[in-house]
Amino acid sequence: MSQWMLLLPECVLTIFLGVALTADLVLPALPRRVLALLVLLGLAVTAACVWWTPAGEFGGVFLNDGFGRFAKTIVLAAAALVVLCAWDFDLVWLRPWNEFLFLLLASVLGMFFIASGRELVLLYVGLELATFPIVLLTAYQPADPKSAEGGLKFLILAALASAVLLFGLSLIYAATGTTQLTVLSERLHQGAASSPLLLMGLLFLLAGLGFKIVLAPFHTWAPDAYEGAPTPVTVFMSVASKTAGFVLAVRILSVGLPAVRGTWGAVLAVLAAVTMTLGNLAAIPQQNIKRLLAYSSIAQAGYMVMGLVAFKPLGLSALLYYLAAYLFTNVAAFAVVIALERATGSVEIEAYYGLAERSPRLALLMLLALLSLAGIPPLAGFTAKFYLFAAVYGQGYIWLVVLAVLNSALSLYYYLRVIRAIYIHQPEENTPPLPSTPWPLSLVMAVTLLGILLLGVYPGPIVEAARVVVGPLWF
Amino acid sequence: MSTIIGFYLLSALAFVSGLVVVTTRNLLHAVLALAVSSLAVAGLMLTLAAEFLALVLILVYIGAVVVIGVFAVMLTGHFDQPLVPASNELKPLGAATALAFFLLISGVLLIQPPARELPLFEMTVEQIGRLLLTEFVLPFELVSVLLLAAMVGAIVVSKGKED
Amino acid sequence: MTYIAEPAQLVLWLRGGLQQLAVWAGLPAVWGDWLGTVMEIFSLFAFCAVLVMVLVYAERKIAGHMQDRLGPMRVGWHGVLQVVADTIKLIFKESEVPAQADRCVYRAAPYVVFLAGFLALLALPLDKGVLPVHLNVGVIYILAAGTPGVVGILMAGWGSGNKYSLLGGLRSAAQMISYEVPLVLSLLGIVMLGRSLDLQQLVAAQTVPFVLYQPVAFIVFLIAAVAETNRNPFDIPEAESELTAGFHTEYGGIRFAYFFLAEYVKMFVFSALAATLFLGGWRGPVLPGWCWFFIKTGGMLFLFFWFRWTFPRLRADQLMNLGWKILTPLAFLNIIGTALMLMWL
Repeated sequence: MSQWMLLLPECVLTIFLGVALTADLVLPALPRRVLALLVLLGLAVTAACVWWTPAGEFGGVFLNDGFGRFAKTIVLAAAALVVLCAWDFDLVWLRPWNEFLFLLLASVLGMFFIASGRELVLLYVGLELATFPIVLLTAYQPADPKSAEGGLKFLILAALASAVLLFGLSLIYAATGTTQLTVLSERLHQGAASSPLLLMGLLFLLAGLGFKIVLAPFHTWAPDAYEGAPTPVTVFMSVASKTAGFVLAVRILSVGLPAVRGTWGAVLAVLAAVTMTLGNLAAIPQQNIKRLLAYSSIAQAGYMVMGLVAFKPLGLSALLYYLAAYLFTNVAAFAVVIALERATGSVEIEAYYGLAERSPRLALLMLLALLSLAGIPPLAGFTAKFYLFAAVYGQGYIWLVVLAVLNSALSLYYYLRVIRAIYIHQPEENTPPLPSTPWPLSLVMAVTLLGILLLGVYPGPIVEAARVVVGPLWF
Repeated sequence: MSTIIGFYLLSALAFVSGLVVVTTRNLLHAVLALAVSSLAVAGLMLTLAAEFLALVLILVYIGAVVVIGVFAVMLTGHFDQPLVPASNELKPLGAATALAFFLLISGVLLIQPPARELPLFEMTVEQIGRLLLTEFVLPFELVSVLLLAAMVGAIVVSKGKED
Repeated sequence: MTYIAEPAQLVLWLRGGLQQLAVWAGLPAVWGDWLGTVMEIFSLFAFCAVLVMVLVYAERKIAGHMQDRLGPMRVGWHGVLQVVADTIKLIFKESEVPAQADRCVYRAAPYVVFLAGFLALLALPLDKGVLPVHLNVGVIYILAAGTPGVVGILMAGWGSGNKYSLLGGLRSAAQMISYEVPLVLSLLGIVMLGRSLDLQQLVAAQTVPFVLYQPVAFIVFLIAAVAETNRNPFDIPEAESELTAGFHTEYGGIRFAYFFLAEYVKMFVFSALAATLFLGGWRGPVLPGWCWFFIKTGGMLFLFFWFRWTFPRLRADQLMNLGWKILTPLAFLNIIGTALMLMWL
């Protein structure tokens, strides 16, 4: 019975998920704010449970360890920030609110199982649960053709990716006869590693993972989905989904398949190079800030994959740190996007002309977020990139590091384009003054600003935490 | 003997009807061909003594997927013009991909035939049920949340603006 | 011990004979088996045809007497040959294909619908050890075999190229997939009690007929089965005042006969399933098993006829409400109740 205690955070989350779904059935007059607060409370309680629940293993398929906790915390933080972002945003679109929260929590639940899963079937089902609510949320405004288009593209490609991933997993099962990652790893060391069936499975697995973490040849759905989705959903997609995707990759590749690391490491190194270059180049001509940030996040995924390439333990801890830094940075940028979208209804870069005069605070936050994304010291993005590149350099992938540094410089170009629009361009004539930002959004901005600065100048504790949790990943 | 004949007949049926699915211009015919293809695959599973899986395949694919497909075709305005283009300019590329995939997978299977020493499960319903409630209990429970989320989301998205 | 009382022996004896015949003719013994299978299929088909004739006659007679009429009286003694005459008429009648029809789909539809019912028939245990196809998942098999029927009805509705047919087909299909949910759920209680999906074992487990343990499931099953067969009071798909004759409006002759056959075969299958799962199937004192099977099935069939001539037709929305909001929750409650009962008793 005590084994079931390990599932406490997941159970708590499931309860709140049910609450979010049934609240307005029981209390039709429940104000949306109350429900949002309830969900935030649920996330907080879940977070407490995540850290309170003892470490341990559930029948070899579910593992409560530091790595999982770290990932879960990032996901929970992302979800909480998204709820705050969506608080008032949702009013604009008049869409059912409790179903929005329900789907969000469902996705978080899926990510929880990805973070703790140690068995391929569980990981796969978790991945589906993490992905499909986001697909539905992307299409949450069917009246808006862009939302419908983004949702449809996302749906079809996500389904295809799932099929590819599942095919890969089934081949891996066929080659080794197990779905448990630890057993899998043992069997590979005993000699199944060279079987062509396994390599074929690995190929499909990498393609499927590539879809999920948006790597270059498989990235085509991302810009449309990012652009079409309601912006808070885009935030969730870009931060939480990405975290979940990388956690999944770490679990399967580093824990289950370290024996064939040479193969997947080489493939991922190439994919990383292609992804960051392509993402940055494609971001340059974008006029829509959401598309620009979409390509920027593709490029960021390219950097992050380097953490997988650099492998244990330095590379993975750098990856975790990068994910934490990326959480604050990207949410900060999108918080400004949401604030402007609320005020002007536009997500084009022209809407940012002269933002510095209209709202110096929003302008400053955007500036810091974009500089952090580009990796300018002393912000979070710089520290993250520093650790990551150092780890990769230490593993001897010098060409990759050189390319990544060049790419960072390249990315500065289009980030500066936005900054130029904000600080240099004059606002158009008769632009109405921006209305004040609602407090939940202000809270998001304050938290993310703090995060960007803190992770930039005082990275010690998080780095240490990331290092500690990655250590026991292989035992 | 009869199993082998059945295997080839059913494989051929599955292949041909699958080909019809992707080449026919009539959406309804495509869905119906999909039903035939699923039936053939279910038959293949029967020849492999996986009765339960075969029946579940029929229940799910024909009872649900194909029926929903037919409904979708009938209710989404293709009643007057059921003919849609069955290919686009990417056709050669698609064919090449399919061929490459076929060569790859058959090559792999030729180099390394599927391991015979893998335990050949006598998969009865009882064993499947046992596995679902022991080793795979977590995914099994999680799937229920997944289905619920899919259902809720589908209703919300398809309900449109008036709510 | 006679062969009539033990049909299992009869089948085995026939198979053995066919194998010997094959060997005598210089062919592998397995050919004899194949021949036996083919013969069994044909005899089952003949059984279907005769069965449906009997059922139609019975229904017309029962309906007549319920309405204080005599029913068919003209052809043969008390009209027994009426159905034969009707059948002959249907077979020889011209069967047209409407000009606007999707020809291929239109032609295939009746056979798909019929085959669905016919295949389900194969797994019914007529007596201890007697069933044409023995599967350890018989319950699921019967449910699965019936599913292509929905597709067949949709094919008929679409293929006819007629709006009444299309609407009728859509309604039928919607009704069938809606009621399939409570139907399947109501059977789960039985499966839990009998701890098997094998129809033979489920019958063997019924020292007391399961209907006594599962009255709720029985009622849910009965209602859902009537809806599944699209019969009154759930025959909205064929509501003549709204949709003329529903999905088979355009059909005539032998193709119509197949739809007709399918409806009665399905009714028989569901009655037999109810008799098997709830009433103890071939179990019973004195009489041989197959007698009991047919007596119980006959009783269920009578219930079907009785419903048809007693209840008024439901409206489409009432029908959906009944299915989703009453029967489905009821079936779920029944499953929970059964589980609790099994845990504590």
